[in-house]
Amino acid sequence: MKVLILEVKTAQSVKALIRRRMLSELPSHLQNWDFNFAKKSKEKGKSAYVLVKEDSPSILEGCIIFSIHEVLGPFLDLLEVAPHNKGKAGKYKRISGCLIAYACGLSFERGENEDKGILTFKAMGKEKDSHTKLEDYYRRKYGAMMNPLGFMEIYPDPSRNLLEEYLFRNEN
Amino acid sequence: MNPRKENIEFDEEIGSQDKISLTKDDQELIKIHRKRILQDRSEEDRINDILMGFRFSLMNYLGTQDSTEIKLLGEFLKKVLDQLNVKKGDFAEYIDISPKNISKYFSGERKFTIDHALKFEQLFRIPAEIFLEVQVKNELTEAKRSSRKTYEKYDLNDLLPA
Repeated sequence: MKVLILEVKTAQSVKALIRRRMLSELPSHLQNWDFNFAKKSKEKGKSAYVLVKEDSPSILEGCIIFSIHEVLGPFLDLLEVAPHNKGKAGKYKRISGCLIAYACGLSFERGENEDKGILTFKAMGKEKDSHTKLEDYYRRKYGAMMNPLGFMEIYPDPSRNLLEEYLFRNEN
Repeated sequence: MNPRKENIEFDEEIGSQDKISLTKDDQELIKIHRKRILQDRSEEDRINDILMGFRFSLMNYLGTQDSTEIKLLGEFLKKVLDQLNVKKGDFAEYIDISPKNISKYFSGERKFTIDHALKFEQLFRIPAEIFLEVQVKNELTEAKRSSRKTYEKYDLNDLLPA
């Protein structure tokens, strides 16, 4: 899926794409990522996708693991932006938005019945971050709501908006 | 494991390596919660959700650079028609294809035309170009796969004045 990310230094859009990963390219702590995607992707039912720039397809800018959970339905197991994209010194932005939108697309494609178009994930913050703070952030940025078990859910209508914003707007 | 760095943005990392375990009560809670959400969705909403999945799958396929995979337009159409509970024969008649020939279109033996793509645009609310691009992508992939050597001989230098 072709997407556009933002180069922070120049404020220019940069062409990128989200694709299924090859096992050999999945990041782990060895490359200074916090999550071990290589290990997680080996679990049954998990699919891994990477975001790379078109002109440097071997450098990962972000990564997700997606699955269909037996109870929660379409589930974003893991998302991480590359270490060089994190924080104030990050090189590129819109990585998370593109990957979350892509996972929303997968929830429409693979979700069934009452789960169709609903993406669930576990928001991670520090101990001092309150649930309210996390929920506010994800509600503002992605239209997500907290479900009765404390997971965040993006429902079909906000999911659709994310697809339009991050994925389909790049159509020529 | 590396110590977690300070997240400036909460969405730079999502999820956990830990397995999720839900009790029977949790499962029941989610079931009720999801049923309630579904009840609030109209039939039109549900159809739009199916069409969104269809559009995403087409766009996703067009964005892949895998030169070995071919997925026929017919496969995508069959899937969405199944989800919409539309019979193949009814679909064929509606877009002016003889029902006995629709399988040939779905199998790739016959190509959908611009006329068909424009009808799909109205039916599925997806630009006509997308359907045609899927077919062209497949034709190119097949041609490159089977006739690469035929085309490699072509060089602009052969045409330029000496």
